[in-house]
Amino acid sequence: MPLLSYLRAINRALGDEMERDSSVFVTGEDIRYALSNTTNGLFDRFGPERVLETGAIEQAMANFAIGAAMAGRRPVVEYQQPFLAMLVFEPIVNQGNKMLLMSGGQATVPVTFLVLSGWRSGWGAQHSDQPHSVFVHYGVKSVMPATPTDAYGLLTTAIRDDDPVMVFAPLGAHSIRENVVYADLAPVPLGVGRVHREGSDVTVVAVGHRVADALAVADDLAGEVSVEVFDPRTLYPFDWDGLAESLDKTGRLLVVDDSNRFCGFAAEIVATAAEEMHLVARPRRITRADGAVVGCLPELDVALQPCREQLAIAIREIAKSDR
Amino acid sequence: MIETIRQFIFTSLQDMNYDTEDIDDDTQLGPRGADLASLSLAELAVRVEDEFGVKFSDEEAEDLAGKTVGEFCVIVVERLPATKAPVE
Amino acid sequence: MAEARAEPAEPRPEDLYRVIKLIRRFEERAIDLVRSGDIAGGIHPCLGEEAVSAGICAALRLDDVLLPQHRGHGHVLAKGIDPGALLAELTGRTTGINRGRGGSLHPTDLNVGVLAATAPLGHNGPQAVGAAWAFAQDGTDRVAVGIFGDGAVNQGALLESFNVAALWQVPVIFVCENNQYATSLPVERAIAGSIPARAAAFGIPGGTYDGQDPEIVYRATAAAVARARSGGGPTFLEFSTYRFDVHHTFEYKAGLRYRDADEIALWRARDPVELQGERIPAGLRTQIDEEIESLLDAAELFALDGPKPDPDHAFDYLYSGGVRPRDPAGVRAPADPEKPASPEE
Repeated sequence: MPLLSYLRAINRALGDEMERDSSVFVTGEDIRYALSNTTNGLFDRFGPERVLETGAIEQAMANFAIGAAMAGRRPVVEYQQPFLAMLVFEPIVNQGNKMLLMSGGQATVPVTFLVLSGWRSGWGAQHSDQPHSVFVHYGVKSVMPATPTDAYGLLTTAIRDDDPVMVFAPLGAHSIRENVVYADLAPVPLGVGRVHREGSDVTVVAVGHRVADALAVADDLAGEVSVEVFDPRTLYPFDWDGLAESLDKTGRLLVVDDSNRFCGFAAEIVATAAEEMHLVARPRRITRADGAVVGCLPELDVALQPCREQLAIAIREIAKSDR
Repeated sequence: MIETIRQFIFTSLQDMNYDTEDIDDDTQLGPRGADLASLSLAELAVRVEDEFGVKFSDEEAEDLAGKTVGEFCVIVVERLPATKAPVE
Repeated sequence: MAEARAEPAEPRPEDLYRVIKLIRRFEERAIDLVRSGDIAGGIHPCLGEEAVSAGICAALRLDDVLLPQHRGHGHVLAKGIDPGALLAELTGRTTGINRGRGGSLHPTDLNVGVLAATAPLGHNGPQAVGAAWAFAQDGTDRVAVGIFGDGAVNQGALLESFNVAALWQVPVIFVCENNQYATSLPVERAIAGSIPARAAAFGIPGGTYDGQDPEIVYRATAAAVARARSGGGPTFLEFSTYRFDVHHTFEYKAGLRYRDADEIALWRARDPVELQGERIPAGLRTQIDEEIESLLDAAELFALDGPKPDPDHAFDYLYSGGVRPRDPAGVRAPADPEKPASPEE
């Protein structure tokens, strides 16, 4: 049962799907020499017409992928920097994600957009965003795996899905390693979460690399507070049934999310839980600051992002709270 | 000697739970190849140091990520203490 | 499917006239339906530009694809969309080609090779490149045509797409239907340099042609299609034409005055309906005109007879595979259990 890293799991999923389905191709920048390591070995295996490298023409290539998808291909478009997802936000959200509707069900757009997102320390203010909240707001199917197994499974499902799917792969998760049996790696369905750790006192919802934080804090608090860690895995469509089941048990909710607070992903979870689910204490969220700009200086970055101390304090407070 | 070193590297990797099936002399040790975590690279360096009586600085251990298995073997051979047999 | 791959015969003058006249009368009737309120949201009429549509589509096979933009009625009618189904689409009926979800701006009909019509100017260019690339990868000789206006020629995404179209020798045809105005902005104040030179800078051959003469348009397009099919890569065609009427029907009430009457008169003297009409015998012309009126009478009846969508179907077609957004209490009023289900599916 060898170790498999999250990044290598992405690479493996890409290679396996390209092998399985000749309509799958990957496009992006610096993918021939695999600068980001997601496409290691793929150019040698599949050649320049399945590993379609371009320069900086992102808006054209997002549209190119949409056109190729409508003509029967399954593109995977890689963005090594999260701000590129902002640049192609319009073609994805306003064109690709609306084509099926506008065509009255005729034109499917099976494109996967792989975004290597999150904190990139020392790269300045423009390279550390976590933009998933704005994509899910527009109803784009989106996932953010937390483990290598889920990275493999969710990327596989995203590629096989007939709609546009955003796969957010936060840098903070890339070096997570798991012991795996390769033959057991399998697609993970969209919209189905996973309980990483069962507990009875507080439900902590975490995604991406924040799952590891939640599990570490849960371990620290073992004996004091029984923490259940629920990882939705898919950001949209969200596994509300899974969350409701957890809250039926605990009635106490803390959400930790790596994106900004105001109108962010965590806000949606807290709002829906407050409206519809069993809660005995006020729900809380730990997020980046409102409109946070992360990446200028490491000391400041740390102050702007969720941390384990905040989680521990919040969990203890929620566990004791009556309202 | 190189073969001995190579075998030792493979055994160490397997010991540390890394998949060695597709690894050859041209495989890099880091994320572009064998995908060793940085701690694992450091551990590999220490194991090799202990086994063969060679020494790596901290920077050199970090740089191992970009080195291939073959290049690593050559580096080790070049650093062997004088009492060891010469390179074949 | 063999029919889809049949090369079109060289169009006879009356074939081109028929398409031009169909578009002209369709647009005029559609404008009437805008004024009557039957087409909500108005339209972008292509009066004066019909020869461009007729000439381009005469050179395309059924299985070639077209990606128009907002002024697309002429393009899609010429490509083969049924006028009744298009009018039903414009009047928001579920019997429309896109079940009313596309409207005037976004027609798709995969049966006749209308792939998609997107709104952001020029973005249909890279989409056409992607589709054409896929066709070539599949080993077919299908081509894709992206038609945009003079307003699109500086759009980043379009210029970016010239790069890969040329680099990879993609069987795509970029068409600029230059009607001299981008809404209220005339080309003299909008465009630096030459339009086809933008594509030429990326090594894409092409030129500027008279867009009022459908036979000139046809010949230029046929040459581009032949180049694409034989692996010769992309072409950029600029067709000079003129918008006889408004940019969008909202202008009828807006009172925008940005064009000179003399200029309009000059271009109206080269009306494609007259230009092509004079190339066929008067008797044949009259016959075609009458056939078109009957066709459009039937189209209008079909359209206005069609059902409007049921609000219960607001979440249809958003996702493939049966995924639907949630509809918890508070988002919309609860469905009336007494009401029978709409037969839309």
